[in-house]
Amino acid sequence: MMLLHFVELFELDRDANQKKIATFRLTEESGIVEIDGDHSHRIVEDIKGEGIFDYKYARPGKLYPNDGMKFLENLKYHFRSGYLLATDVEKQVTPTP
Amino acid sequence: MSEGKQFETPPKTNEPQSVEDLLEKGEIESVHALKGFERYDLVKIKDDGGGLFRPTIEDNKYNKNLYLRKELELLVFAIDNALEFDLVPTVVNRDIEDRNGSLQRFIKDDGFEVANLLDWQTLVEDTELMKAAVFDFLIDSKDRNDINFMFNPVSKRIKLIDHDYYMLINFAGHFKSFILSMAIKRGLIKLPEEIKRALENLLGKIDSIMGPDSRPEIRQILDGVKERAEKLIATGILV
Repeated sequence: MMLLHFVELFELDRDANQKKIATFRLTEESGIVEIDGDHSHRIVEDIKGEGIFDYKYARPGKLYPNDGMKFLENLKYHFRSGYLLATDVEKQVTPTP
Repeated sequence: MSEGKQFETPPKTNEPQSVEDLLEKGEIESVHALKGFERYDLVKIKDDGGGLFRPTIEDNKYNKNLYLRKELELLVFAIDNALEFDLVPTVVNRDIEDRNGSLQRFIKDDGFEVANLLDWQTLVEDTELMKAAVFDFLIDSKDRNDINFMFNPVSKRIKLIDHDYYMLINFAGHFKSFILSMAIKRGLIKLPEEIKRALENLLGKIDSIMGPDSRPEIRQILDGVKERAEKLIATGILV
């Protein structure tokens, strides 16, 4: 069995419907957050390139997908406006491939 | 003082009073929770668009972002009203389904989009950029990147959102606002007379915004706004 942590990111469109932009996935094995979704979406491009701040522990510097769980657990604070909204970190146990 | 009147909100000159009235008293057609960690309900109001409702949650032990959430949103809206800048979407205090919270106008159906998704830097005009830069300087915004303001590519207007704990009280990152940086990059540092007059209007109203029973954090923010407004008027320079 393999433990997967993930965060989903939603965008609110003009008709007030929420659409999923991306799912950020972290497995215990890799330690790097992988992004499923439209990689050409500007939000996804920017978050990979520009990173996000550490809102949770206020550590200096920025966090990137390579930072694993530290990056994943800060997405919900970075995307908090309602127009862009991330879920909390969720867990899923999947069969080992 | 009633909860809904914590801050004086003088009528705006460039927005119909009915927007505030509709948010405060309009008949609610539907309410549904959005998916996400931060709690939002999308509220549809009869004969109007709708709003984003953030219920007040007393237990903020595990999420400091909820701390003073409603109070901070209402405070920043009151500052914007006093300046008559029209930069902050209308927000009101409201009870919905037995929960109290802030209800802010949903502005995507007015043509606004998250700034990150647009080439706002090339589209925004100097006057609007300077107003928003002055506003961010005044409130000492600590987390203004291009996902927490909106831009309308037709009207070229800016709307500032996410006025919460991380934006106003404590955020270790505390970087210079994207908007303020862009204004300085364009050399927009000399304040025009209309902005100086707006700042004088703000100073004239700041005690009524503060109210007699404001929380210490609110008083501290307003003291900072007052100090920075006085500095801007004295120097005439945005830095």
